[in-house]
Amino acid sequence: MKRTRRLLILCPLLAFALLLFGVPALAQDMGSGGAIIEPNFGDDPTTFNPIISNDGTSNDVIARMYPDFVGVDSATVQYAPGVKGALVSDWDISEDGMTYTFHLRDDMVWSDGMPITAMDVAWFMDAVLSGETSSPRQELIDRVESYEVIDDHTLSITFDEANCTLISTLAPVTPVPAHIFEEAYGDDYAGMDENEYNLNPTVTGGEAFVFANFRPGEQTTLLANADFTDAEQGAVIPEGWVYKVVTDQVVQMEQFFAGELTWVDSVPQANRADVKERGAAGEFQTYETPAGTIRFLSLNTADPTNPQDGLDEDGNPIDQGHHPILGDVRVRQALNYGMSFAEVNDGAFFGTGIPVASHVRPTDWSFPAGLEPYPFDPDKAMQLLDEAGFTDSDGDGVRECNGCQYAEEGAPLAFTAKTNAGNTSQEALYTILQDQWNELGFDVTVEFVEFGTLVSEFTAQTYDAIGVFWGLATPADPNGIASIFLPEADVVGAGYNTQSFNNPRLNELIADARVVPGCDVDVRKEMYGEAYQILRDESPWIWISTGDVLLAAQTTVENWAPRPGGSRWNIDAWMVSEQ
Amino acid sequence: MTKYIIRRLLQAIPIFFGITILSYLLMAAAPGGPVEALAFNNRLKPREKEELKYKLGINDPLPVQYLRWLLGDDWMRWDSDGDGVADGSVLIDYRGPVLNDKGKPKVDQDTGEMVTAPLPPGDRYGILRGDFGVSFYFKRPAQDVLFERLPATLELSLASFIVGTTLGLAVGILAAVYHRRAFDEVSRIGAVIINSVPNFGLGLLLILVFGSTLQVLPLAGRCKTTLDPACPPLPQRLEYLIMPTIVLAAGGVAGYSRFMRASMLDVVSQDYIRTARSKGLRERRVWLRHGMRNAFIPIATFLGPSITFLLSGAAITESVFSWPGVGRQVVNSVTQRDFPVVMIVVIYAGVANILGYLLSDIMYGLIDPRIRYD
Repeated sequence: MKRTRRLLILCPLLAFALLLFGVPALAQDMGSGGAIIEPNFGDDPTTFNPIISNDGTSNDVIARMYPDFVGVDSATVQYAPGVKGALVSDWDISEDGMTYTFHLRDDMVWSDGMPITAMDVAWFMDAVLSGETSSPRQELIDRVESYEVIDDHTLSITFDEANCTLISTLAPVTPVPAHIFEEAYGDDYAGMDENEYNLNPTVTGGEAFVFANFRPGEQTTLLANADFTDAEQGAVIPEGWVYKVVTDQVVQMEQFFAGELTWVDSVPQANRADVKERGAAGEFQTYETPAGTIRFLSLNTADPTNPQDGLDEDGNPIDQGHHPILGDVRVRQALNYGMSFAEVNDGAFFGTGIPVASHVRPTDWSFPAGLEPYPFDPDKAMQLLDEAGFTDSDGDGVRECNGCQYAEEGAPLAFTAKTNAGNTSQEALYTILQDQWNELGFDVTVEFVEFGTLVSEFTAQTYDAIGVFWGLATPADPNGIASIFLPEADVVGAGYNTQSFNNPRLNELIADARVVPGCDVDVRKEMYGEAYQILRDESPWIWISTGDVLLAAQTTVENWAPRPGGSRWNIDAWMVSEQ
Repeated sequence: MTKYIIRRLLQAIPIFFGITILSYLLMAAAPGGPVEALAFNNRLKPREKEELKYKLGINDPLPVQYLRWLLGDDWMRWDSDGDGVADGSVLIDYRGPVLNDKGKPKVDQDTGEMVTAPLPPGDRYGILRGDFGVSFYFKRPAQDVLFERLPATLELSLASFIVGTTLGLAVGILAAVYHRRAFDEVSRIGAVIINSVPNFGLGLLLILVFGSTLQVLPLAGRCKTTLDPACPPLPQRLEYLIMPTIVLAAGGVAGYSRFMRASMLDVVSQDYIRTARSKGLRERRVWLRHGMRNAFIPIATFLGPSITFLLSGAAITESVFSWPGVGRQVVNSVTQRDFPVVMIVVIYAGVANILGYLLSDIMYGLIDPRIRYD
């Protein structure tokens, strides 16, 4: 009986032990040693069709297996002819500046051996310009008047006007294998979204890899392209590239530390110090590069109870009303003066933030000399609030309107700042800012809101202040401010000038800088410089910080040499050895 | 029994429609829509965003959206002359507004009327005809997205179900046998501790201990990352199943052990157990044959609905372990406001739940001779 009892007790324990230790573990890194395993901290790609792709994951995969049309030089971070992996070898511009004639390389081939020609570009253009696809390429439809295939390796594109941003307009253009796409999609552009070929491409090429397979929820796999003519070492060195879905940042970094991932293109802030230290000790290779995003707090300058478009049908400005608190520029400036970046940087960004003064990074070509972030000056902030008519008459620590411009008399100096829930650095940031601003006499409420809900409120223009991130284009495109601060972009529910900002001088500068004769860089830089200064002074946004991104790779990866213009620019030369 | 099953299935029909209406309303009432989730992109123009709303059909009144999802829209907007555009409709228009650059309907300057253009005929059949719609995010049939992830979910949930019930019931029986002795106390405290630790915490703890520090188990994923087009068969990658199974089974072990213990103690105080003992049966036979068998009856209540868990996945555990299952996907789809994917999972889990309870009742009838349904 006793033996039976013992067995009854031991059986479940033994089962647990067997579960934990009984099955031998397999090796945790690649057996072949030649595959690059990169984490995809996100969802699956939605399509491998460059015409309709609209998410970062899909675009990442497409960039590895389709050629660019016009490429970006990874060293200068500028569009340039004859760039590695790009079809355009050179271009001419007509005298009126509206027609570009592109000369294409004749040595690129698809994975089935067919040459990549102007017809492949034309197929992309036909589909997008039909307006029937779900392609998010409205800029192309708006700007391109016509195009003509002159011969297999020459193509001309005529735009609706001459301006200095036309080449960047062509950034989304991607040659596609016309002979295959014609067969797969025909002229049913509207039905392209649901075509099974989107996730099962049979022919790719022109880049370092070709499509191999896609495992939903797990990974996308590409194999070395034997026909890639631009390979740094004459042939593509890695055997393949795996874009592996990882859904937890902690686990992602543990997988990297364990050698299961070849590299990570953005080390989380919480791990940065550790990775840098271990990198310095020779455990990893590391590289820091300016981030492609800016953290900001958008301040609604208009009446949030009555959102209006910026312009009417005839292009005339519509009265926006005023936000009772944030409609006054002095209050917005006071918030800037009242923000201690040093404290925020330590408390929320682990010291990795870089202050920004306006919608431009110090590393961008259009960054003007003398553009400085607001200094931390609480006295100046309080002086501005006094001038704006917000004083603390009842001594409760919160200022009230006593002769202010837009709020009712006696109304407290209060507003709500919202940011996306679940982002720990954003939550820390606004908790710190709340304290800093309340010290000045504000009564700031901070709410952490689910991202979809936040975006909904943002575009509906019914908020006081919303803080998220803004992605900056690479190469930097100063004209990007047009989609955020011009009244044309103030469209309730759809546009991104959600703060309803309208400054005539800024509007003029943005319009003129696009069409500077000869696109003289110095002249444009001066104009954009003035525009950035206006934005800084008027503060429709509080530009909080940008930062550096820390990249890290295993020491077993040879030729890993990221550049500011692209961390994967020489991925075809990476040699991954077994650890 | 057959009559009972048929009656229960008929009763399930209004429950099914209730689930569809409630879940659709909840989904639609959630703040933020798919356009905001899909199109927070500064390259997108206002017109593109508005066109996306029309394309997804989310500008229509809610009842119309629900009907379209339930019954399709091929009967709502049709093309009778075969020219590819709709020429008749019911409930919705067969012509749609032409949008200007701001995404607003264009107005004819002369007539002051809205400029419209013909729309394509409806081509959806609705869930009652097996068409669950197209994922807003993935742009392919929602059922494809679900069924791609189902094998991984089944693999993990079956493993955790087997481990959870086997160990849970065994621990429960032993705790009852050793009532108020060391094993009973340890299992009670253990159950409380296990129930108090959230799954993500336990998952991360296991990863740090067994994956990172001891390096005896793989950290995450369903199989070793290779260039191969598929994972190898399950027996060759069992080690990937261990940690997520432990996390998922832990709650089951704690729960089932407590229920089983209580049930056993309840049974052993019954007269027929006393009678069995007085007949001189061996204690082992009393516990296992007379006690355990009867103690299993209330446990059947829990086993049926476990089907829901088996089929709908475990969102947190699948996320922590990068397990490509249904649960993880549905969390992503909620964030993306991908209504068709969320709804197919809700419907599918709802149906599984209905069937689970039915199965529970049938099991009652089979294992408890006192229960008769006819």
